[in-house]
Amino acid sequence: MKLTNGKLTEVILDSLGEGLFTVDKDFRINSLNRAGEQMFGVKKADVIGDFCKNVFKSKRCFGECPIERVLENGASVYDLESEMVTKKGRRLPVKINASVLKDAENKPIGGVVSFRDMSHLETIQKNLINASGFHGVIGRHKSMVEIYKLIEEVADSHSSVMITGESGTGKEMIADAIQKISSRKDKPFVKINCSVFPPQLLASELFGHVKGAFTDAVKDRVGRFEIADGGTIFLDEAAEMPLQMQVQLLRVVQEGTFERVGESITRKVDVRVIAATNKNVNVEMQEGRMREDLFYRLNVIPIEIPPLRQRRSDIPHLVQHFLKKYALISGKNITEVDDEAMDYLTGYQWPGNVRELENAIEYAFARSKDTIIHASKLPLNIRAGIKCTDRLPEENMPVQADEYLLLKNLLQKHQWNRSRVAAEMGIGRTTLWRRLKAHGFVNE
Amino acid sequence: MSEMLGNRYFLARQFDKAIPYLEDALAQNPDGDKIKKKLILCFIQTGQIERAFSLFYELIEKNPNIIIDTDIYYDDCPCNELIPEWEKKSKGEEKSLEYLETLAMLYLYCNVNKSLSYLKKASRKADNPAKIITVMNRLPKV
Repeated sequence: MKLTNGKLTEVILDSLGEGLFTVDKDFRINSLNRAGEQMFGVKKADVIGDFCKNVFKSKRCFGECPIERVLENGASVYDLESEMVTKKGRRLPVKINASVLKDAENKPIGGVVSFRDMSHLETIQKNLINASGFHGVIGRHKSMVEIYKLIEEVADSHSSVMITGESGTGKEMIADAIQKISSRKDKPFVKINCSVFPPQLLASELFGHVKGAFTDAVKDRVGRFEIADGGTIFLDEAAEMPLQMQVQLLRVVQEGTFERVGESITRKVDVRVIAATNKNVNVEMQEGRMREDLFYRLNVIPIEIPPLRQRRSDIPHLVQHFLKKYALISGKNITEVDDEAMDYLTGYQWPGNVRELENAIEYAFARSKDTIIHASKLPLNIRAGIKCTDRLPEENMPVQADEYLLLKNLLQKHQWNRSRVAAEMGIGRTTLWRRLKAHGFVNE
Repeated sequence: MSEMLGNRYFLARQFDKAIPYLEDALAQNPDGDKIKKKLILCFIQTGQIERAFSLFYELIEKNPNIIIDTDIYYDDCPCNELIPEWEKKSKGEEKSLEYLETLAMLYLYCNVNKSLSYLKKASRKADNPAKIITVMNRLPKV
């Protein structure tokens, strides 16, 4: 039996795992697929002809509608975080893609919105955040606690932030935390890595271009600064930006004004800038690769993230966090690392910092069949690293003193329940006993 | 300019932003009654009462039912939100002609009798009430 075009489209849409609806130019729903019906607990027949805002009741319906954004900017929306409300009133976290449908004359005649249910991921995130510390950032070392305090203090500020730290220390996570608690948290948050674009393309990415501005500019394009208007932009690897671009960036940071590539109209935006770099900024300025005026403009609120080797007491917490994360993602019931593995992990230098630690845990997770990660499952370089390198203490606090205080605090917190202390530290009871004995907490 | 974007701003009650898009849509489709109905409300909410009344008059001359048959839910008409705001605005003050015309226009989307009552008051207040009287005569007496 052959299907008519309309029926075929319906069958295709109903076979999708993502929810999807389309609206006409008045924003009345004219189709809803089966996954969408199931997610919202509604029947297609009951909602066709109704306004989408009356059915999906998202807060975006009254503020930043994704289709509105597409109509304004000309670019489709991908992975926009939002919430919808089901027929029974349950809040549904979703990620949205949106596009505009146009007729033969290129006039908008409707829109299509697809959405993925993110409840599962939100539960994972909540569990991890609750177990960690500060909006997804893990670490209880005093240097990290100082950073959390600073972020909270400047939450309502619109000043620029400059995050420095070695590669893998979590600069982007700190930027995420700043955004999450800032007054711009419900506004766009746009991220761009400045080091991956050649100069001409970077200008186009940041400021947009008009049709014909350069060979491949076949149509007008909105830049990241315009998309971020009202919100925040995260410029990763900002120190690697070409000098000419730094002049243009300085102007946006100072005045909020810029021109699209190939256009003379000056546009104005209100964007908070968070920049990050793993370079030594002083060296970059001395050698003329970074403009001083830009640096001082960006560095209004400086945040320096210490490398992992300077906060080793955080390693067990990070290990525990990544164990939980990969257990949730993979479904494997791996809950701890054995004592020997933990010794390797806390003794290693971690040149790649937290990112390298996460990769090591993911690697060990993939290799482990047991409920415990054994040392033999860790990457070879980590096991080799401990043999050829003596453990280096943290720079700001001797390991012994740090560990003594940590043990003391945890013993008090858990009323000397050693199982709980071991669990919180992410180590086995035997290792804990050895450490307690070394610090004179136990005599047996 | 996109009519769809104008519709979107109207749905989000961003009347000032909707105006240029709806005006452009009307220029391309001068018989667009739905666009005119929205523009009347946009003009009212941006204080352009004379322009609102001029469009209102056009529609009444054509067919008053275009406005009277408005369905508050199905047409997403904001008059239920706007009327209390306007009535609250001049509580205790002497009612101006613009105020009376505004409420007459808003009420016609949901309550013909109330609209007529405001039109009567406006006709008494106006120096030249010809247009207001024409509107009154075109409305059905309920």
